[in-house]
Amino acid sequence: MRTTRFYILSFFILSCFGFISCSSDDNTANNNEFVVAFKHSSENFLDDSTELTIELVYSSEAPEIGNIDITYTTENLTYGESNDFVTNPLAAEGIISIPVIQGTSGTSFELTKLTEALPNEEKSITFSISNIDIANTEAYTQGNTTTQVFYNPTASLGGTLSPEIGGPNEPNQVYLSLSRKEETLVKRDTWDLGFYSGNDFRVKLNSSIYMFVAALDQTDIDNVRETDVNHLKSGMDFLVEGSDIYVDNPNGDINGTAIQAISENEEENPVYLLKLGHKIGTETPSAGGVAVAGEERGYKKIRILRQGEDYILQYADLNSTSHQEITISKNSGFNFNFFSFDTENIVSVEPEKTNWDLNFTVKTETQELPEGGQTAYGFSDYVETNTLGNVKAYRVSTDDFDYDSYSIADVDENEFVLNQRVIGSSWREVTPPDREVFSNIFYVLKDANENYYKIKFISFLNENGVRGYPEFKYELLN
Amino acid sequence: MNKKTAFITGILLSLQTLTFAQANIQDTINNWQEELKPVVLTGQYNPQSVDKSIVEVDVLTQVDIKRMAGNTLGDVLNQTLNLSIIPNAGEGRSGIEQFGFNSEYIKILVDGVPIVGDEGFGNAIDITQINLDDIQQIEIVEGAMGVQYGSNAVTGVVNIITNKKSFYKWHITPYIQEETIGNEYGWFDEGRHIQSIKVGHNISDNWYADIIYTRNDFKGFLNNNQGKEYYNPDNGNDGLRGYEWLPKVQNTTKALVNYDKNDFSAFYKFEYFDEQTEKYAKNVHLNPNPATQTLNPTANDVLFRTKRLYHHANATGKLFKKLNYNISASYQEQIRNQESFTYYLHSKTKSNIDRFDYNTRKGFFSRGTLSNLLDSDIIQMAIGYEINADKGSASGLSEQNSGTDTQDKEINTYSGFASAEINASNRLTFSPGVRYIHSSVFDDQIALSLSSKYVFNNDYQLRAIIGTSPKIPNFEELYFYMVDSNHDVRGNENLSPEKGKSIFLHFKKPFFFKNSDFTYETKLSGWYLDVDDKIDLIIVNDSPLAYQFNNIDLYRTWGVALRNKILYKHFTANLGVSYSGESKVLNSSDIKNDKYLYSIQVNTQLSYRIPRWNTTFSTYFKYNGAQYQFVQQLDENGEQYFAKQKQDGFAWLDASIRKDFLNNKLEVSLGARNILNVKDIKTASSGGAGHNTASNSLLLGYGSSYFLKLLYNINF
Repeated sequence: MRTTRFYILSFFILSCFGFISCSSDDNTANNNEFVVAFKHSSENFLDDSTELTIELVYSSEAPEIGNIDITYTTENLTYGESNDFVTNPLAAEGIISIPVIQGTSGTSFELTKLTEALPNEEKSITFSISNIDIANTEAYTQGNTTTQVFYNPTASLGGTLSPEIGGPNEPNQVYLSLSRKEETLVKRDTWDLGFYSGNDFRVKLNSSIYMFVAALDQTDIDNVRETDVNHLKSGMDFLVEGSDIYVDNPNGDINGTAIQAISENEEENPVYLLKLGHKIGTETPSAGGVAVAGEERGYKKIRILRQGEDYILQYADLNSTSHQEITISKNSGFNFNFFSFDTENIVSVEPEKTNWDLNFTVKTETQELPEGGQTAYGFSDYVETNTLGNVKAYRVSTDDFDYDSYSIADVDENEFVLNQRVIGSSWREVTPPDREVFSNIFYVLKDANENYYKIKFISFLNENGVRGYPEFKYELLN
Repeated sequence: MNKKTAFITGILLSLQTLTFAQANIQDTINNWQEELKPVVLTGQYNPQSVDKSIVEVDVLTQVDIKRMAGNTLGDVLNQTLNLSIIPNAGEGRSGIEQFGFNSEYIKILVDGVPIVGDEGFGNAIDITQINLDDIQQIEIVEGAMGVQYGSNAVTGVVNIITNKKSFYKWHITPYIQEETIGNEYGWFDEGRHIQSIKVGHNISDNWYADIIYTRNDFKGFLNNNQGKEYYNPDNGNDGLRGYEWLPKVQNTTKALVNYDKNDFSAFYKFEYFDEQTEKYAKNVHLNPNPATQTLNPTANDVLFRTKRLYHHANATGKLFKKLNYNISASYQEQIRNQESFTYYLHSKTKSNIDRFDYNTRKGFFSRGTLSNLLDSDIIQMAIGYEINADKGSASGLSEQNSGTDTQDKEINTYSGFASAEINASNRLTFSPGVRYIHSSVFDDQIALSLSSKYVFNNDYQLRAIIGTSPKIPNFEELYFYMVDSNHDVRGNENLSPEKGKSIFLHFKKPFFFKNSDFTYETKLSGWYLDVDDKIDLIIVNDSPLAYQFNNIDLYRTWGVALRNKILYKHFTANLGVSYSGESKVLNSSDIKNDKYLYSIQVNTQLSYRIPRWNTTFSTYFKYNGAQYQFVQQLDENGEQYFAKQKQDGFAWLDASIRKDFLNNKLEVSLGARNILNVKDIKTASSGGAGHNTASNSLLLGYGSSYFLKLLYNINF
């Protein structure tokens, strides 16, 4: 009897102890690999630039200090101060040695070209990662183990781009040129109206700050009072049936602007009520959300006239009995000439029209209401194509084609469309909990210079799940 | 570990030598508990037998709880008629639904004092956090009890009565309980592991004290998920990381000091509870690096920590040898903290750590009653007061702006109440009651009750109970704010409390048979319960579209239930059937369908005790019939209509064997929960043309699980 009891009690205590002293049945080994690669598989010198930064990236933060050795081969070029190119740090016995600093996620070295190449000359340098030494870590190279730098200007072969739209407030519009691998940042609320530089006389709204515009039945701007327009205000908002008519056609068609074509006949140009939209949001949303719209910017009344090949913009506060006037010329080489009510002047926004393909931006779209009818609606992390610059694109399903093996032979010319919405918001799902980049689609883009690119989006959240950090990879097909 | 084991074993050996004389005291207690008509406290000024009570009280006894090996309130309420436990596996918590109303409408009390919860005292309680190791019995009352318990006692009250005495000078009870979670069990990483010890001591004839510590380690239910370290390199959003039911660990420490002398008794009870729930994101950010062709997967994980502190002092006694008084004072705190972080799956490191309290509450509660005011056999009167100073905060109210995401709410409530019990004749007793509630936030409220009992010939008893109780708006309804260019959804600080009222009829008859051990009791109940001014999110402006919470709807339910109880020698059986309908009058909606939709519930319990073997066999079965509700949907033309949504029926079947060894020193319970292996049930709505338009599933359980509980009584 006594012994039975003893065993039972011992069992109790043994069990209790077991639970407290151990907490885990298994513990898999740490994944402490460390991979180094070139950020891009090809590079080229742009325009007159003689300097190029060759970037190297790590698979994760460097766990220890170390060293990377890079070797190079050349085509019709010679290394050296008195020859064609040098690097910083300098190569010693054919090896460029770059230190790895603990805690960093990449490094770089500089390349300077000392001679020029004629357009028909084949001149390039190929850098290779030859050795990586990191204490206590299994380090190797994989992926872009080499990068080829072309001396004469060519279209970029591709790589990875992370347009800096700036996190969950998405303060920036980012204009990207794929062939030039170049990004231009513009703060969204630094401009208001875009005056078309093409043959037509058209004016577009800044759809990234949610502007609305409504034509009035008056032509004398000084005669318009706030009381005349108040009834229009409630209709100029998101989720209001019919509010789509107060915004530009989101497809980018210049004939679809909410402001009608500016007529030579002065009396045909009405006064407009312009809702200036919102300042950039300043609040911090929870991870995965956005806060793109800040304080409201109020209203203006405007009227736009033609004077020869120029525009005349008249504008004033709603109750003002006088107005300001500014002449705005067309800006050849650019899609638009931009005006800001904040600076009351012309501002620079888009790059030249042949120098950008994609615009990452907040955007006013239109969509159907749950109860039926159309409304204007705001989208974040939207991607416009440069339709006025003749950039075309289309969407491909991975059910039909594999991204990696997709080649110029797979491109179907008939599929290309000239529409700003073709990428738009179709690349990501924003509704929690499945916020994700769709992995089953990619895009094919043809720029104005007939460069064909395939584009696949990688992410739109950062590693902490915070929105406003898009990333995509792309590759030249021809 | 060897050293420690030897040490502890040594201590226990010496304890063991102290144990002495078994006797049959435990047997006597068991019989006494099983046979005697339970004495109830809920809705009473003084403890009374269930039969005498004018309020209809259902009791879950300690014996029931032991048979179910119930460690928390969430383990034992699944078998009760008109109650359902609604788990939120993704948050690791469970609430009670009664008569189709959620956990904000039922009040949960411990020894008559509402316990601190997310939305107020006694309100929106996570019942998996209520430990039962010191429980005498659980009393359940259906119907609004605003006079007795104030706001939010709308559909009913669950009052947990704790044990405050022992028959031994020393009473030491360690136990361990091992459970599988569905088919998942492992010594460390899977299953549920409970360890507990209770030490009780009668210090003198008047003083008793005890202390309990319990650790409840629920390792979560993976089901199809793959745990913390999993990711799919091809698809970060396959939803297979983490757990289906979140793992959590609870520690409960309780202490009690009780004093009894003549007509006076007093106790002080203390509890400290902490819980840690691990919420692993089901999706992973792969963070691919196209250059190196590597992934650096991260997940946004959260640790929830809940701490609860409970003090309760109570005194009961007589004044002037006639007046009965009962005064409780309680201070309670609850802090819910969340730690969100980014977990790097490769390096197994945490970064971007953000810790904050997302739900806190602290407050003081006191209630006092003075009964037997009139020295009369015909009229008894009682008066009382209740004070509740309640200060809380909640987060998650404004997703876009962390600055206004957390809101504070302070409500001080002062109530006075009075009731009378009038014995109009030998047969008829009725009891009117009124409570006046003055609140620092809301308009003053009045709760009313009228209960009556009529005893017919042959022991037939009829009770009619009418009651009302207001329901206080919750944080979300008051303060939610999501307004931006694309949305306009707002809480409403001008909301009024919702108005609950109920009418219950109970017709009861016990049968005793001469010269037989056979007894039988049957009870037929009927009820109507509604909540008016029910708060709903409605469209307050079409253009631009804006939503706001408003007092607008009316929810109604009525039903009948038949409950039977049979005792024959060592055999007991219960059989209950309830049939009820729910109707929602949505006054804000253009299209209306307020038809009653009906569902059925059946519960049975069978148990048989073989005294010679000291063994009890029990089974519990509850069937929850299909439930229906109307949901708004769009047809092909984009027109709104109400579709009837069906939630499939399901059943809980539990069984256990309990055997006492070594003269009742060792109690062994072996059992199975959810034998029918219920996991999720289907909800589907049928369109106007009879085609199924949508099908979802609702997670209710984690499949069949098995438990073994070993409890050792050391009494001397």
